Amino acid sequence: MTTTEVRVERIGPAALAQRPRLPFGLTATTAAVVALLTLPLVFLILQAVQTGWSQLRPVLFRQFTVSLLWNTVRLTVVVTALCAVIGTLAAWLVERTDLPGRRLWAVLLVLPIAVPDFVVSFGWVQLAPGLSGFPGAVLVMTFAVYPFVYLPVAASLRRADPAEEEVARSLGLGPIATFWRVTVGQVRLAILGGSLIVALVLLAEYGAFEILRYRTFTTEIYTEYLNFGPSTAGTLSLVLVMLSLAVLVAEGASRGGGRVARTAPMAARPPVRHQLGRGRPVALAGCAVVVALALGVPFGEIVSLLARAGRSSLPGAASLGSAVWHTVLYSAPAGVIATLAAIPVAVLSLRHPSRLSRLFEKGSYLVLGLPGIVIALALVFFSERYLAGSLYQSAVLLVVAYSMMFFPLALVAVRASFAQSPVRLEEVARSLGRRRIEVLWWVTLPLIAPGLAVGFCLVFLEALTELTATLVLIPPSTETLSTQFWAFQTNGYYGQAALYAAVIIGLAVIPGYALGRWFDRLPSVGSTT
Amino acid sequence: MNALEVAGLEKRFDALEVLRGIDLAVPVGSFTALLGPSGSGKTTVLRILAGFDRADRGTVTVEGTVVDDGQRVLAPERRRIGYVPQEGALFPHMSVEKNVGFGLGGRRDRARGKARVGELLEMVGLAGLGPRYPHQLSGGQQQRVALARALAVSPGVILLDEPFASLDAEMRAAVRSDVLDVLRRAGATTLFVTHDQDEALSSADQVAVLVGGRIAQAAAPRELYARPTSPEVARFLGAMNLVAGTFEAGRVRTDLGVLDVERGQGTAPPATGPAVVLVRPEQLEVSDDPASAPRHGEVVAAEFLGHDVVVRVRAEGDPSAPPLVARVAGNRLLAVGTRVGVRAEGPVVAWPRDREI
Repeated sequence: MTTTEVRVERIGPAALAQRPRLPFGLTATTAAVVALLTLPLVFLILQAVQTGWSQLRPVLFRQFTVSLLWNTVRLTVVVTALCAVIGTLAAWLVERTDLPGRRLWAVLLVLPIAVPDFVVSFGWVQLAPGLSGFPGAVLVMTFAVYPFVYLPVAASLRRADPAEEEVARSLGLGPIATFWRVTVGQVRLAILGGSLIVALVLLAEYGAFEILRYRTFTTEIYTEYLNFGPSTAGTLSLVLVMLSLAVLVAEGASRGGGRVARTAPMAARPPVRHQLGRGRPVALAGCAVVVALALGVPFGEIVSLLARAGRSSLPGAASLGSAVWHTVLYSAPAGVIATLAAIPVAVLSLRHPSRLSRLFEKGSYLVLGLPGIVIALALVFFSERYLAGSLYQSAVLLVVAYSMMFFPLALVAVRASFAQSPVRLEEVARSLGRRRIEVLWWVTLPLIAPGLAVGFCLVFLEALTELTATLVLIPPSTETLSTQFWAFQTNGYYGQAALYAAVIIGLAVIPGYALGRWFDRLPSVGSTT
Repeated sequence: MNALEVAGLEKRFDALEVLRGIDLAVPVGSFTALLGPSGSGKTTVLRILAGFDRADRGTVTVEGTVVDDGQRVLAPERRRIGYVPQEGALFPHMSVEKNVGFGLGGRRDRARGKARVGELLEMVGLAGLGPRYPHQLSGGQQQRVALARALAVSPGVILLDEPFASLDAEMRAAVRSDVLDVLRRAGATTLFVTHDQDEALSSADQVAVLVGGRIAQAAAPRELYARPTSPEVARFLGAMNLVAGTFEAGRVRTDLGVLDVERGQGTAPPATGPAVVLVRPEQLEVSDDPASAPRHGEVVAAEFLGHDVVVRVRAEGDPSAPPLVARVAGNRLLAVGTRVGVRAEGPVVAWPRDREI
């Protein structure tokens, strides 16, 4: 009797209390959001059924598909692992050591998130025209996407209880053993979450690999679509869906039952910074190399291209204003929609944990691993079927596509802030006589506002640089920055492509900087409870 | 009249029955402690009362209004129940003033709201700290702000969840007496949860002991200590000896002597049958001369407390039983290993023994 009862209080009534019933409105909204997100999957299945096995088989079981699989898998595995290592080490250096200039590094290390992957690879290919294939893809992608690991790990390190490290030291573990057994353990979930995003983003990447002439499923899907139409493209996409599923399952499995528990809610102690001592130059050099490879190369190449092009880049500049306008017009609403849609999903999964809400949450990540082209084709398919094609190549459909594609990024940010805002505060607020909606407005939203902003920034940044869905769905005779960049780049007008790349970066730097600042200021635990 | 009434409250989490029929009445203006071992479901009771959780069965009545009847529930914001969680749970993005004024609605009558906040801050001894933010306050200060915030809306009942558990021992006593003082001056009806029997006995008007999912007894601290209604309650209230005996015409026969039985609550002891007897440490007489006493044993521990000594005596012939705990005068020299005789003095509390103790 007593032994079982003790468990109840330790798990905490907040976790158990809500389990019996899921609130109908919230569950229905979440289900609707998730259903919308699975449309591309439904589309792929419908198409596969229509095509028939006899047609699918030759596409799936050929030597070429196997080589695509090998290319995609080895790249995903290697880059994800490298990103996990670089992101975690960089975050640890900035958050937990006396690294000089850590505020500057905190911003510089995040900034690559604002540089589109295809701009990074464009810069690298300009610098080293021979760069291509697997090594090139690993190099470029690692430095283009590691911030997806850096950001959550840095935030998590900031929140972790420094006493755990101290206890480990007092139990006789050296600094390195402590790092491995305690610190990495504390941020394990953040590393996994970041790696999940990295892996899915890699699966769906198109532009960077196209420039590097590295063939993955996603590049091939687009090529097949251009040459043979949607049917074989769809077939290959099914394999990609399987890969995404495998990534999700692997992440879920390595998550395990471990959870992070804080036993001292009132401890408001800032983390102790480790003295780098003689390691300081090494650490500084390491950070500098990362920033140079991730930011320096693309920036340097763009600047030098622009300088060389001089006045000859002017023809491209004519449509610049219109491209900027349309880019913002499509990306910003997508950021808003995706962030708002993430709220119910995050609330359900955190405030009402259940098998169903977990399934909803996980299911919504699947879409991130799908190439933009698949989402675009799915939307075209359904809008033709049910809306008589009225939305084809309209701004609405493009915004919806962006919102869907990058919804998981919004969810990550919104969920993280909800997790930061203790449910107890909401309860207290209600016991003080405020209605649910008032509590949301006065207590919850102010606390999660930064997370909403981050969700918006992430989606906006990614939408800004989206290529394949944009090429299919963009309204006739309009251009965005990325389609213009792509057109110039493909045709060898590198100076003009560089101009567009520079503008994209200029547009992305503000939200990118905001992201870095947000994570930098993320409150420590002491001040949130 | 009762500010709060709970009848037949039941709650289970999946297969786990946590509350099995809680009955409790909290009179207006009283300071009631809900005392129970950790894991006994105390917090669950509070959460159901506050409306964060639903009862499976039973009713909760606040100031004459049924707020939960096991089927329909009144939303937390309409219950007029103040809630102070363990760590205070101040809103981190609001200043102390904003926190305290949160339940006051604000906009309609700003000037009066402000005056009320000032009044409350003064009452909890934090006048002038209004513009500070929660993270700039000590734990005890946070606790008092949380209290002022709950009092601001003049709730019918205030619930405190282990309010002093997160404070260190030194601060604990001081904060406790401050908080009690504030609550009494405000005339607030209070129900607080604790697992610390000393805290419950020393500060409450009424103590309700929650054991095994039920309120085993609810009474004034003195009554509870003097006449626990069951061995479980007695055991939970502290170091006491529970020994086996037999009723014999109004008295009870034990290894420690034949003792008078206390006649509490008008019930006469049964004429015969097995009994469980509560012998308080101060009712045990320890003599240096084993021959003169009905029971012999050896001192296994002696804890010097100044004016008296708590000694533990392992009785001979019964090595598996817990040692007898006795409280003797501080000037007695009873070293560990001394052979002693033990005798009890009545009147004692005794219950019919219908199961193992």
